[in-house]
Amino acid sequence: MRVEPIRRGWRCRQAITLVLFLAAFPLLAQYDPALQYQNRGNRFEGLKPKPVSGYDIELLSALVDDREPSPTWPSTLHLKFYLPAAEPVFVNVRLPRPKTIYYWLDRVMPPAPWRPGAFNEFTWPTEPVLRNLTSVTLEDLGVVVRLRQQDPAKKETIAPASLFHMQPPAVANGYRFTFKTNGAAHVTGKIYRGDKEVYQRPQNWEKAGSPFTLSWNAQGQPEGEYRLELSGYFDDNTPLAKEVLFYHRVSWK
Amino acid sequence: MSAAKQKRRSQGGKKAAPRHRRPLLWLVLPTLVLLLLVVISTFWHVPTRVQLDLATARLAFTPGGDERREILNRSVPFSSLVIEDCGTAVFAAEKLEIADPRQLVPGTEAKETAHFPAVAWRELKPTGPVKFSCHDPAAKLTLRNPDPASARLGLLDRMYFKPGSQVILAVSPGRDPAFSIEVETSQDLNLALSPGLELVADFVKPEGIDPPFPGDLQTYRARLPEGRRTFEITSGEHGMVLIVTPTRDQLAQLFAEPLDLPLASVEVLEEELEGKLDSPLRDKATLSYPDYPAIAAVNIEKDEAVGLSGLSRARLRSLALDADKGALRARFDGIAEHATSRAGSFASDHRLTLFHTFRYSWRWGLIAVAAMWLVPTAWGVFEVLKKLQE
Repeated sequence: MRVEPIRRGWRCRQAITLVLFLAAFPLLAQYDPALQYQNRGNRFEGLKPKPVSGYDIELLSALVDDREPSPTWPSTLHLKFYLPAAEPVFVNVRLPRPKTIYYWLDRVMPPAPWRPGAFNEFTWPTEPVLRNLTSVTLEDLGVVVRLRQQDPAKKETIAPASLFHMQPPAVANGYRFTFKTNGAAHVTGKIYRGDKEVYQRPQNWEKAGSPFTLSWNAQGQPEGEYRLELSGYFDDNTPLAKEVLFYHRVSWK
Repeated sequence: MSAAKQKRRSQGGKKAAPRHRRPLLWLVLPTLVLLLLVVISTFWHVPTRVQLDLATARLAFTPGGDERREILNRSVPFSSLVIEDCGTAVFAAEKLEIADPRQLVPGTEAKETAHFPAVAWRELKPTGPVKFSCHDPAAKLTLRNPDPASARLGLLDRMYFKPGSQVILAVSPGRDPAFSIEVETSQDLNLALSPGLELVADFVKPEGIDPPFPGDLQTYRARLPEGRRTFEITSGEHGMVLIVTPTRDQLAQLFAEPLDLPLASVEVLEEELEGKLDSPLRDKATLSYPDYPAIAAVNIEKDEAVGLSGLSRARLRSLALDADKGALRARFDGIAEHATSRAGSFASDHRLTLFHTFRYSWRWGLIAVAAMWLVPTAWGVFEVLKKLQE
C-alpha cells in the first residue's frame, strides 16, 4: 500500500522530466499539442518523432490494392481486415514513405472483441489529427495488422487490410506490401502458395530507409494461406531474410 | 499578541535582538541577502549562446532569414540518385531500351551487381522527349551509370530551400555512403548527366510508351544526345526526397563552405518503435559557450538525445559528411532558450545560470562587485546618518 504514492511521485517526476525535455524539440513542438501522439479513447494517435527500428528489414504496410480516390480528407476512415482465426490483433497505421512529419496510430481498442473467421472493421475520425496534416493524403497512409505479436519480427503473420472512406472492395484482386531496409541491400521478393511460386519481384538494389513496394496481382489465385519471402544481402554481404504469412480472402463482401 | 507576552519576550532576550546588536545585524543582512541571491542565481538558467558540434545520422532543421538558401556545393557529382515523391522526369534519348525483368541475372554478393544479358534489352522508339509521370504513391526513380566501373553519372543541380520550410538530412552508411535530402517545398531540378543512363522505374511508367514487359519494376537504358544531356525533375506538390550517392572523391566537398545558414529551428531526435526517444548521434557531441571561453565545454555521449529550441541568432555554421562514422558532422551556433540532453530518464539543462554570467563575464562581474560594495555601504551610511540625527 505504501509503494503506490512513491511510484506515483516517481512517475510524476519522470513525466515532468519528459515534458521539459520535449520542450527542447522544436520541430515536434511546432505542431499543436493536440496533434501529438496520445490516447484518444479507442486508439493512440498523433504525430511522433521519426520512428526507427533496429530490424534489418521491416514491413511498413500490407494493404489490399484498392484505394478510393479522396482529394480531401473524409470525416472518417475505415479499416477492414479478415481475421482467419482467433488471435491477438495489433493494428498500426503510419506513413510508410518519409515525410517531414510522422503520423502514427496504434493500440486500437475495438468496441467489441475482434471476431475470428470474419471481417472486422475499425473506424476513426480524421478531425483530431489527419485533417490538420496538409501535406499528407489518404494515399500516403499505410497499415499493418499484425497477428499474434505486436512487434516486427523476421517471421510474422499479418492480415492484409483495406483502408477506405466509402466502400470497401468487393474482392481482393491484389495486395501491396511495403518494406524498408535499415542498410543498402539487394532484395528479391517472392510469394508462394505452399511450395509454388506465384509472384516474383526481381532483385533490386534498395537504399537504406527508402520504402519499396511489392504489388501482387492476386486475380485468379485460390483463397488460402500465402507466404511472402524477401531474400538478399546487405552491402557488407550480411544475408537478409524476411517471411510474411498472410491469408488471401477472395470475396470481401 | 498581548502586552504581557511582548514583555516576556523582550525580557528573555531570545526573540528580539538587543539594541547594541542592531548595527551588526544591518551589516550582516545585505551579505545574507546577497548569499541567498547567489544561491538562487546558481539555479536560474538564462537563454544562452551555445555552440554544438556533433556527428549525427539524421538532422532536421528549418532555415530562417528572409532569403532562399542552398546548403550543397554547386554541382555535386554523384554516382547514383534515387528520387522519391517525384512529379515528372523528362529527358531526351537518342536511344532508349527496356530490359526484360525475367532475364535479370541476380547478384549473389555485394561486389557483384545484378545485370541483364545483352539479349534482355529491347529497343523502344520514343517520338519525342521521354517523360515519366509519378502518379503512384509508391513511385520511385533510381538513376545510375550503365557502366558499373564508371564512378560518376552526373552533377546535381543547385537546390534552394525556402525560409520556414523543413529540411531533413540523413546518412546511409555502407560501402558507398549516401545521404538523403528531404524537402517539403516543391523543386525543379536540372541534372547534367553523362551520355549513358540506366533508370530503374518503380511504379512509374513512361508516357506514350507501352512497356512490353509486365511488372511494376522496370529497368531502362538510354543514350543521351550530345548537347542535351540533362534530366529534368519536378517534385511533387509537397516536396521530394533525393538519396544521393556522391562520388568517392567528392565526399569531403558536398556542402557549401562557409555555410553560415540562418536557422529557425533544429532537431536531432528519433524514436524507437516502442516509443523510447532515441539519439541519432554517432559520436560524442560537444556543447560549448563561445561567449564564455573559460567555461568548460560539455561532452554529450552518443547515446544521449540532445535538443536545442527557442533559437535566436542561430546559424548552421558547417556541415560535412563523415563517411567513416556514417554521419553528418555539423556545427551550430546560436542563443537557445532550451539546451537539453537526456541519458535514460535523466535530463540535463545545459544553459548557463545567472551565477555563470556574473562569474565568467568581466562586465557582469564588475557590476556584481559594485553592487556588493554599494549595498552594505549604503546601509552603513544610512545607519550612520540615522545615529547622527538621533
